Amino acid sequence: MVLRYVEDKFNDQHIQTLQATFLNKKLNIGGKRINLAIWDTAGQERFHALGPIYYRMSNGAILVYDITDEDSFQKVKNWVKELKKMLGSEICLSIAGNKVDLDKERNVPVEVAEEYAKAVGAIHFHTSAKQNLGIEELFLELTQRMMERAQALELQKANELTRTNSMRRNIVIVDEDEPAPPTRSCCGT
Amino acid sequence: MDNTFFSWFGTDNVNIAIKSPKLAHFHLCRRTKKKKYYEILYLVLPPTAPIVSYQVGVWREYKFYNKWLSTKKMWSYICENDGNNGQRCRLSDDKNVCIPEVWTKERSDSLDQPLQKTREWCSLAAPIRSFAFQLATVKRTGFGEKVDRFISCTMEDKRASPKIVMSNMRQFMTGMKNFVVALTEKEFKRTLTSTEYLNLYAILERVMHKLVVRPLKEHLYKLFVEEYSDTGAIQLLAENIKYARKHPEDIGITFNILSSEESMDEICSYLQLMQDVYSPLEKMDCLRKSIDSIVKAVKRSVNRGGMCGADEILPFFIWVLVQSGMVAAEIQADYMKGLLEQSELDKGEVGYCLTTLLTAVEYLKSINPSRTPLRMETRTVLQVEEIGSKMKIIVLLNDISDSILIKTLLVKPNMTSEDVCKMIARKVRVTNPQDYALHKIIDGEETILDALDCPQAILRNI
Repeated sequence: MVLRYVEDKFNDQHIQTLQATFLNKKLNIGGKRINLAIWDTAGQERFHALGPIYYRMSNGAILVYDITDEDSFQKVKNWVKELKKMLGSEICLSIAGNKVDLDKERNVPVEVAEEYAKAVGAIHFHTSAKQNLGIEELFLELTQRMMERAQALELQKANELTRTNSMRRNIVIVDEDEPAPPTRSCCGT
Repeated sequence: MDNTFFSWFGTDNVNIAIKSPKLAHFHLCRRTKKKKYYEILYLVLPPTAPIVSYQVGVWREYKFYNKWLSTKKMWSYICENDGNNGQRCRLSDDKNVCIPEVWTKERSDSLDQPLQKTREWCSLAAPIRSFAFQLATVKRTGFGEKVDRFISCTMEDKRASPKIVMSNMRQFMTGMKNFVVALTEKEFKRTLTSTEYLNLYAILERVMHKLVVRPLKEHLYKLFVEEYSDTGAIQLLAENIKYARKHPEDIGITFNILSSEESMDEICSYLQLMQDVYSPLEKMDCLRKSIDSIVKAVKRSVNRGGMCGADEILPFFIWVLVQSGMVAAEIQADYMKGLLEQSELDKGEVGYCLTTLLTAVEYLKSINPSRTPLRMETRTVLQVEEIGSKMKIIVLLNDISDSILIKTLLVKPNMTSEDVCKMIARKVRVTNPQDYALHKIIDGEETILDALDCPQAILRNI
């Protein structure tokens, strides 16, 4: 859902879209060239166990839930737990409450979601794929955070080892998770 | 002399045509069928042929599921006829670029001259490639010998692990590329533009595939099959594919697949080709094309504003594997993973395609014909009883009340709870061992064991 929007949106900026589930976006933040690889993973429960194959090398994840669907929010919580367990603090998390255009039907209270995000060290965003709300910000903020984290790690490593390896980490992978199939059905139109 | 390097084999047709308006009468078209090997080594122009530049086109036709597909026709120049015994032009067997080479006497003596000469007529990749191939055949440089020795050494070891063999191959190819570049750096720098120079490694990579991977492909497959038969991975995959064919609901297909039967043929043909080609780069290309076709097919089937994500593609991809009965899927995935360069794997798309394939394989291996697939909610309750150094472990699968497994496992006193968990996970085939843990239950009070706790020691203390 977000992905679809991202795809369309990024297409305007001459981004090669080779596949619907995989996107590459080149960004320039603070004079550094960044290549953002965005992977969509299957959110269905039956594939849950296979998640690690997808996300083990990633630097960040966006977990999307549907604000009208309490269940999808619970699934985001599961994902957060799993990602934290598997990747520790190395991964940057963003949580996106999607479909804010349907605020009337909201089932996940804003405070609850934001509080939860804060508690797990994630940043919460309100998005609407349909109306293109908050998506650019979501990706930009996450990318910046991933860069900071990568630089901090590098610095740490450099301090630990006297000989520094100046290889810049400019490949950033974002895992994009669509928590539940019902999340997306009504927004596709 | 060195036919193997240039032989063109496959089960397809090979067409060659010479294009020249002045030579309408001199049109060579060779079309061969039902032969396992094709060797097209020279085009021989008669001495009477005019002294002009000719163009040679080479293309292939594959037969996939009764459909003929054709590669793009490639036209490249060949040099003029020298008017002597007829110009012999050697053709390489690459399906994308036809590399005509001048086959002259000086060639084997001087490396520089033909390189420059060929370059005047050929496309960018050709000179480097032909040069590298030539290096391989000219023993004097030591390059060809090194390649030969590596291949024969690798072939000798009949029981090696395929993973180790692949990592050796990868290392060797990278090393040889550096060797060729170092050997000829001056030469290349002088004759190539900077863009061409940047492509040097990529071109040499393909050359290495042909020189190293192709002769070893069969050997590698054999090692793979042996290893995966020993571990039971092949049998498991075959069994589960058979099961999944009857139970598509276990794969999670959410839309009507019947409507996409047509694309199925196309996708399967790509997967078939993926298994046939030897170069990991070409395999990856086939895999990418098959996933692209899936995306297109899903878009048509879903009919939901053209949107589709991993939630649709992964089940469909698994379904395709099931339908095509691709038992070697895991071998193919490991082959690519082992032989592609790291820089290639780091490219997002390549990584994503490979991950999709690996995930599909893992999923197929995890479904269990005798039971419903293990889901995340499945909670395993373990009851542990001490029998000397062995422990009896009862595994209850929560959501399926009728399946209780009793296993007696050897748990050494110094084994940690993490080790035990891993062992159990292997025995009961859970793919997500990280979701399970050992618990100790005393008087109904449940405490989770720390990863470093020793179950044997805890039992003794109770």
